Parts: sequence; structure tokens; C-alpha cells
Amino acid sequence: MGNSEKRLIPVIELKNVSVLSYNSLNNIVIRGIDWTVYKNDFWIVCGFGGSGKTSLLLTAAGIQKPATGSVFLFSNNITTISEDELIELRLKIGFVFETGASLFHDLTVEENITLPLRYHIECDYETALKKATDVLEFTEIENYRNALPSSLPRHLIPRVGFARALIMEPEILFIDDPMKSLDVNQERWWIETLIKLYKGTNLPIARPHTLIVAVSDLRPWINHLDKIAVLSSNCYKCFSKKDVDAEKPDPVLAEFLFGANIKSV
Amino acid sequence: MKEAIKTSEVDLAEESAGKELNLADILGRKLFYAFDTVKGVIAFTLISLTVLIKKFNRSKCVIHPLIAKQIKLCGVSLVPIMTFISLAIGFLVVGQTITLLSRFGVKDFAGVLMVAIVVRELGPIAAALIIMAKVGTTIVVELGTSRALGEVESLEALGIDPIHYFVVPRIVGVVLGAISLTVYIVIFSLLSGYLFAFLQEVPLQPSEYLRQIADTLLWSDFILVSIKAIGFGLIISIVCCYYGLAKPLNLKMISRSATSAIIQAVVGCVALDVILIFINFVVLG
Repeated sequence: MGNSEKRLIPVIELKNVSVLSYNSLNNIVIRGIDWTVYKNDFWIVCGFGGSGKTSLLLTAAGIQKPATGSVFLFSNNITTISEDELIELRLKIGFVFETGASLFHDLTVEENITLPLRYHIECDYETALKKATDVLEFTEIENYRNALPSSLPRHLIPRVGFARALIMEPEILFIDDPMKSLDVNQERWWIETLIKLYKGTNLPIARPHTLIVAVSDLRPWINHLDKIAVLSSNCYKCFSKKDVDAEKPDPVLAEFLFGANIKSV
Repeated sequence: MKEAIKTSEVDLAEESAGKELNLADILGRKLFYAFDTVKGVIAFTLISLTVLIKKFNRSKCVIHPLIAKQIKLCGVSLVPIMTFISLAIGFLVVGQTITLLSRFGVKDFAGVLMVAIVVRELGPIAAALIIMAKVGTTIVVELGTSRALGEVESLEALGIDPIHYFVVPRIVGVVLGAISLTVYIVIFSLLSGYLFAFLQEVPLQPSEYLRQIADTLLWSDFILVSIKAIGFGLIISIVCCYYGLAKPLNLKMISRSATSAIIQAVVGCVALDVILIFINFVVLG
């Protein structure tokens, strides 16, 4: 998964950040995070349910403010810049929510996908549709363009969120647990599509240069891991491909690579 | 927006769960909650009006269709029920008043009474109550559902201001709806009231009836009715949006939020009405 064009340009920096829980803003889920994401990185953020993956991603994307510490997006401290400047930065970032939730329930797939384009670029619906067609084809949901989210097959819902994030041509793409409760075929589709998107060869759409994907199981990714952040028991550890290939991986990493070691029942 | 939730009724209810509270505790909590809600609504109003002014012409191709949808919901779709209410007011209030005035030989006061009862009071408040019942509850349920399903976070992630997308079209729609429906209900009540009186064979010519109303109406009445309609529209839309957007976190809380929103919108509208009556009669004479 290496990329020859990699240069060490930091795009996201978390400095001694304490992350607030997405569900309850009174609770801190992870403390003391120092994390730097460089341009052209492909990060897999791994953790079990409730470990704080979504909260970490929302904080790193500048959508949620940290409890303490500083978050830098493209070298701008999000706690000190104005709301308008933050919105400008957010347009460079795409975010796909867990299981594709947060689609607008009263808008069709097509309307959901074109909404950010129509809002920010103020183009008419037909112009937005032309651009949406490529994204719909890339995510293989063109047959469902007029369906409401409630009538979509469950496995396609995350793809609508994915398409909506891609249409704004983000530089960084966050994807929160896209494969949660999906079958093996769908897992394969996501892994192949994300790798294709990261490599960027023969793509009909603009390629985000940096990908950050949250997952709860590392096993399907084992041949494609580059940089890994593991969240376990309120702690945060970073690993690289070298750690994955090591003869005796770190026990925290091993738990996600080889599954739970059930000693007795 | 999430900060507004911290001191919500839900927190207070959870805090008090399982504890026996005395009267002072209950009153204190209620007072604290009322103060906190007023503070929240005022802050929400200021934010919403700032966004309304700052971003009114921004993203027209998304926001203007939403405004049109709200105008249809708050105006056009309410015409049938407004017609029914206008007929009821006309028959029950206007017609009976004219009949009684004629019976006692003081039919010259019909215009004065009609302006005081229907134009200044009943028209604006009846329009506000209908909008509250039909549109206010819809706003709380729609926005509460959107919030519970994570659509607010989704808008923020897309760089779209949730106030601009969710609140601005509803404020504009409800205010325009309140103005047009107030005018409609006033005119239709006065006409249907006369029709009732005509059927009762009251000796009052239409031209005489309209002349009395025209003579009684002052420019200040038009200003007063406009302020009432705009004020009621603002109160209903902002309170309902506040309860839909800033309060519920899950679907279970939406029904309670809808009830609270309607009660507070009624209190707000009545309070504004009292203030305006006071200014009109006591301060301005």
C-alpha cells in the first residue's frame, strides 16, 4: 500500500488531545492523544464498539471540539479560527458516518448526494446531477438514485454516505466503520473500492489524497495495512506495517489481528 | 448546539429520579428549568435571526425551495381549516353581535366592536393557534427526528449550517403564513359574520357595515395586527425549532418536546398579546 508520491506534509495534528464522547459530551473517552496524519497516508483506526473511534474521527475532522489539547487541520488550530474559516476547512474533508447513517430521510439518494454541491457551489440541480452520475457509478448505486434512504437495502446505505462525501472532492476522507455488520461480499467491495480510491488509477472521480478508515476488525485488512491506530481500554497506540509483520506483534495489536483468545467458557 | 442540552429538562428529570423531593425542591427545579429554557430560547433566537440576516441570499437553490415548501405548509395547506374557523368566528361572534346590537338599537357600534374583537384580537390569535397546532407540532417532530437520526451532525460535516438549513426556512415560512392567514381569517370572519346577520334579517346594509368598519380602523390597527402576526409567527417558529433541534437526543423524547413547545409557544403568544394591548391602550392611549 505504499505510495511513491508520499511527502511528509502534516494535514491533521492532534496534540495532547482528550476526546469527548460523541454520545455524551460530559465524558472523555480517550486522553492524551498525539497523532499526526500526513498527506497521502492511509490510516486504519481500529477499536471495539464503544472504544471511541467515532469520537476520535469527529474530533480529528474538526466536527467535534476536543475537551483539552489542540487539533490542527491543514496547520490551522480549530479552536482558535472563526466558524467561517472552519467551514472552509471542512469542505476539504469528507466524512462518512457509521453504517451510512445521517442520510436525510426525506431526500432521495440523488438529492442526498447532490445536496452539498448545490448548497456550496449553488449550481442548479441538472448540473449537480451530471457530477453525481460519476459518483453514483463509482459507488454502484446508480439504480437506486430515486429511492428514499428508508427503502434502500441495508448494505447500500453506507455507500450513499460515501458517495455524498466524495462528490465534494475532499482532500481527506474519514470513513467510520463502513463494514459494520456487512457480509463477506460487501466487506470485499469496501476494501477493494477504498484501495482503488487510495491508489487513484483510472478513477472516474477525484481522489482524496488521505484516507482514514475506522474498523472494528483488522482481519479483512491484514494484507493492506499501512498505518494503524488502535483504541483499546481508553488507550491509544499507533503501529505500522512493520509491527503487523513482526513475529510477535504487540498484544494490543495481536488481539485485533488474530481475534479474541477465548481461554475457557 | 449540543451545549444547550446539558441543562435540559431531561437532565433535571434524571437527577430527580429515585429521590423524594419536597415542595421547595420541586419549585426550585421548575424555576431553574424555566429560567434555563428562557435563556436557551433567547440565545437560539439571536443566533437564528443573525443567520437569517447574514445568509438570507446564500445557497438560494437549496434554501429557497425549502422556504417555498414551508410557505405551502403554513399557508396554502391551512386554508381549508382557516375557512372553517373563519366561518365559525363569523357565525358565532360577528353575526350574533350584530344581531344583538340591532335588537338593542345600537347597530351603529357594529364596526367598532368588529374592529376591536375580530381585527385586533381574534384574527391574529386564532391564526396563531391553528398554525401552532398544525405546523408547530410538525416542526418539533420533523426536527426532533432529524436530530435523533444524526442529520445535524451530518450537516455540520458537510459544512452546512444546521440553523440555515433547518431553522431559516421555517421562520420565514411560519411568519409569512401567520401574516397571510391573519389577513384571510379577519376578512373572511367579517364577511361570513355579515352573511349570518343578513340571514337573520338584521336591518344593516352591507355598505353601512363596511363604512362603520372602515371608519373605526386606524393606521395603528394595521401596524398592531402586523406586529402581532409577525411576532406570533416568530415565537411559534423559534420555540418549536428550539425544542425540535436543541432538545431531543432520541426518538422517545420527541413527543414530550412537542407538548412543551406548544405550551411555551401559547404562553409566549399570550404574553406578547398582553404586552401589545398594554402598549396600545395604556402607553399610546
